[in-house]
Amino acid sequence: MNTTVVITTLIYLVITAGLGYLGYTQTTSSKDYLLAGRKVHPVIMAISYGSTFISTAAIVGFGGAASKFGMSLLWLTVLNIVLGIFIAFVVFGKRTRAMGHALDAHTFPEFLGKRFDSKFLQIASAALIFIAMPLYAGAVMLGGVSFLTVALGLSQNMALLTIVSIVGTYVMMGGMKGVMYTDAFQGGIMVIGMIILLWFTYSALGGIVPAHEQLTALTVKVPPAWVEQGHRGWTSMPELFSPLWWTLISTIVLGVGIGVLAQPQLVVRFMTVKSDRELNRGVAIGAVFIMIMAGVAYIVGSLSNVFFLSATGKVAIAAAGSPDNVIPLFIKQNLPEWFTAVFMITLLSAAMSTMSSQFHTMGSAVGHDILEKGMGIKSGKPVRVIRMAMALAILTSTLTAYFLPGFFKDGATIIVNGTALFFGLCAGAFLAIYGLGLYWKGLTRAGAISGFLSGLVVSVIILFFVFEKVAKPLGLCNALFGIPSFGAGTPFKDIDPLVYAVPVSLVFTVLVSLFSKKHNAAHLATCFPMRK
Amino acid sequence: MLGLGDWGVSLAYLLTLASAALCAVYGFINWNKPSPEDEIKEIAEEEEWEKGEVN
Repeated sequence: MNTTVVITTLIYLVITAGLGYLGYTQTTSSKDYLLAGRKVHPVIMAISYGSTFISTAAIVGFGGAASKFGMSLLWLTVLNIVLGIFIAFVVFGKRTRAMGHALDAHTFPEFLGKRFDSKFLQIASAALIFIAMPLYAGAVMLGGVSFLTVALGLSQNMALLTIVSIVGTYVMMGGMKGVMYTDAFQGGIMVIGMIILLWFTYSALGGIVPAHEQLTALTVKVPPAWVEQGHRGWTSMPELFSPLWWTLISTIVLGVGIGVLAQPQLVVRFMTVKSDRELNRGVAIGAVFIMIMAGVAYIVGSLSNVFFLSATGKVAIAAAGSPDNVIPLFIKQNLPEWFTAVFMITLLSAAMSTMSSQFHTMGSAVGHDILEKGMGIKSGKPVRVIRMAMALAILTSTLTAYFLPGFFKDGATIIVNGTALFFGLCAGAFLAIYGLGLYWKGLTRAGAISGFLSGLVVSVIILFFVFEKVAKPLGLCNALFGIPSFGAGTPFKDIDPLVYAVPVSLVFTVLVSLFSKKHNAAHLATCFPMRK
Repeated sequence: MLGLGDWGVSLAYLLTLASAALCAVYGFINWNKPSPEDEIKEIAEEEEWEKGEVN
C-alpha cells in the first residue's frame, strides 16, 4: 500500500462527502431532490452527464479493447460525440426539457407517464428500472471496489461497504444536487487524469506523429490469428467485411450511443436545467469532455502496444493477460508512481459518478413513481418516502454486487454484462416511444404501451435465449432447454438485442397509434409548448 | 497522414477533433440563445419593464 495513494484517496473521499453535504443543505423540496431545483449550472450539468455516461468500464474496458482493435476504435469516439452529445442534447434534450417542464415531470418514468397520459407506463417503466438496474449498478460498483481494495488495501467486503456508505449517504441525503455536485468534481478529476495520461504517453514516444509512426511500423508484429480475422495493424481499419470489421462496426453502430439516447439516468439531466441556453452550453462542454475521456482511452490503449512490445516482445493483451489489465499495467510500468495515485482516483471517480446516478434513478423510480404516484403513499416530510426508497435501491444493488459473483457459475461475467442487459432492455422498451413521443403528436397511449411492451418482450427473449454474451451466464436457456443459447453457432449469438427490439417497438408504436384513440387537443397543447 | 496507417483511421482521428470542435463552436454561437418560446417570453418581459420605466 502506497502512502501517497492512501492520502490522495482520503482527501478525495472527504471532498466528495463535503459536496454531498452541500447538496443536502440546499435541498428542501421534491423538485430539489429529484431535479436539483431545475436550475443547474450548464457546466455542472454537462460534466455530470459525461461522467455518468463514462464509467470505469469505458476507460479500462474500451482502452483494453483498443489495444487489440487499435485506433479504428476512434470512430466510436466520433459517434459518442455526434450521437451521445450533439443529437442527445439538441434533438432529444431540448424537447425533453421543454416537455418535462410543461408536464411537471420529475423523473423519466413520470415523463413517459404524463406524455402518454398513462399511469401504467409510469409504473411499468419505474419497475423495469428497479428490476434491471441493480445488475448494471452491481457491475459499476465492483469496478470501484477493485480500485479501492488496491488503493487502501481493504478487503473486498470492506471496500464494498466503504464505497456504498459514502456514495449511498450523499445520494440519499443530497439528492440530485449532491449527485451533480460530486459528479462535476469527479468529472474534473477524470479530465485532469486523462490529459496527464495522454501527455505522458505521447511525450514518451517523441510526440504525436512519431508515436503514431512507431505504432504503424509494428504492423508486422500483429499476431497471425488476428491477421486471419482481418487485422491490418493498429493504425489501420480492419479488412472490409472481415470478422474483426463486423465486430468493430457493430460495436460502433450499436454500442455507441443508440442505447445511450434512452438511458433514464441521462435523460433526466435534460430536465435539471432552466432553459435551452444551458443545453447549448452543455453541447460544447460535454463534447470536449467525451473527446478527452473516450479519445484518450482509445489512443493510449492502442499505443500501449509500442511499450509492451519493446519491453516484453509481446503485444499488450498478451503481456497484460487480458484486455482489462492493459491500461492499469501500462500505467504501473510506464508512468511515474505519483500518477498511479491520480489514475486510481480517476477510475474511482468514474465509478462513483456513475453509481451515484444509478442509485438516484432507482430510488426515485421506486419512491416517486411507484410508491408516491402509483400507490399514493405520502409522508408528512417532503422526500422522506423517496429517501427510504433510495435506501432500498442502494441495499438491493449492494446485495447484487455482493452475492451475484458466487451465485451464478459465470457470476463475474453476468455482473460485467449487467451493463449490456440494462442497455438492451432500456433501448428496446424506451427508445422508440421516447424518441417518437418528443416529435409526433399522433402517438397515442395505446401505441406507446404496445411499443413499450413489444420492445421489452423482444429484448427479454433475445437477451435470455439468443444473445450469448448474456444468455450463457444467466443460464436460463440452459436450465429450460439444455443449450446455452439458441444463437449458438450462428451469427445471431453476437447481434445486440436492440437490433431486433427497436424496429419491432417502432412498428408496434406506429401501427397501433394509427388505429387507436388520439390524445385530446388540450393534452397535446400541454405536451408541446414549443413554438410551431 | 499524422503517421497513421490508412485514411479510415486518419479520418476517425481528425473527425474526433473536428466533431468536438464543431460542438464547441455550436455551444459558443448559441451560448446565450434561449428556446423560441423563452425568447418570446423574455421580449414580453422586457417590453413590460420598459413600459414601467416610461411611466
